Amino acid sequence: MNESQLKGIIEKTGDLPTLPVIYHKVKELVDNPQTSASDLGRVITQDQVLTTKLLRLVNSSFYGFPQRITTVNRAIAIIGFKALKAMVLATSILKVFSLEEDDGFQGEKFWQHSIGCAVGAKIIGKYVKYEEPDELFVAGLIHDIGKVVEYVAFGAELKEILKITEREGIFIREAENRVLGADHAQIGSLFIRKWKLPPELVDPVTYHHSPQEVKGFPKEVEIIHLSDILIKALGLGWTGDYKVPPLDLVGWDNLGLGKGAIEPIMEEMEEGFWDGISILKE
Amino acid sequence: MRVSLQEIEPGMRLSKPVLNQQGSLLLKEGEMITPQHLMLFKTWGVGQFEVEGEEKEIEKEIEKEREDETIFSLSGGGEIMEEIKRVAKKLRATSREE
Repeated sequence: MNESQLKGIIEKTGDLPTLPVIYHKVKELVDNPQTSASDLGRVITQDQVLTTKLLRLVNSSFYGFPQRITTVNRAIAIIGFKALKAMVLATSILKVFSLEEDDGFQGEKFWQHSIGCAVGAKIIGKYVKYEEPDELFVAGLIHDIGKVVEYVAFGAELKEILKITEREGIFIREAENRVLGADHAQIGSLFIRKWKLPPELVDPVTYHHSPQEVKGFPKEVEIIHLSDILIKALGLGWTGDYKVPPLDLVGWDNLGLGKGAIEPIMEEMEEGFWDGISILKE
Repeated sequence: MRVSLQEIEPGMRLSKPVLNQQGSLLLKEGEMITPQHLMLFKTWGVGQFEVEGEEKEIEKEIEKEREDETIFSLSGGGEIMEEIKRVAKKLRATSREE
């Protein structure tokens, strides 16, 4: 990608939506050690959609409580502040980027892929004993945000990219490079910087197709890389890619999972996929 | 889907009208094919038909099977990828049966 192309992309992404106020409010509260569950509850209950999704989440198979949780304060106490922040971020992203079905770009199924990758990342996180599995969920949800940027800022080019990808049977990033001079990982990475998210969330966006390029082998990148491959292999959702990418073996070894873990992880992913969609849907 | 005179069967439903070579309407869209219609088509020399129906499902099924093969064509080999392929095929097959 040359400099003027890069600049053009950043200028165009200036029109893209920013995260809603409620996310910043929740973030501020969660980052403050003085905050109580009821402080957060007051903010959450102002938003009907968030309240519904929070209660759906806490009553889903991901938490598996025998009795129904019906109050927001109890739900927050159960899932914890960090998971709440992640959930609000996830919901905010889905809200500001609710995509129309376009000819070529399958908006709804695109988010299904992202939710599937998010669910998978959380499941893999559990297997590798990652400390913040809910952060992985958000990383999975936003890993392909560059494609959304393309959809919003480069509609005509994206149509061309999708045609080339299908016609030539190549990876979408090759077609993106040909048409835009950059791929969705680079574009997403440029865009996401505006949101001032931590590196655990930005790195997977930038490196999910090239985990060998990131310094220090962060686990988040390898987990999203693997989850993306597994959800594509399961054929769930839509990405504009018709091929499963190769697995980075250094990253795989680094995760310390055995071959035997693949089957239970994929089984849990298939099940969790539908739960994830029903929690996050409007 | 498009079928030939050899493939069209009684019970299939037309998704487009059937015209003869002169362009006159022989049978309307939505009509169910009967053995009498087949005789008529032979007489009038109609060779191609657009029909709906369960054949479409079979085609989708074949498409799915082919997809199972082609989605891995660029994913390389190795022990782990082979395991991913095996599990994916197994799970995709069971979700199709449901």
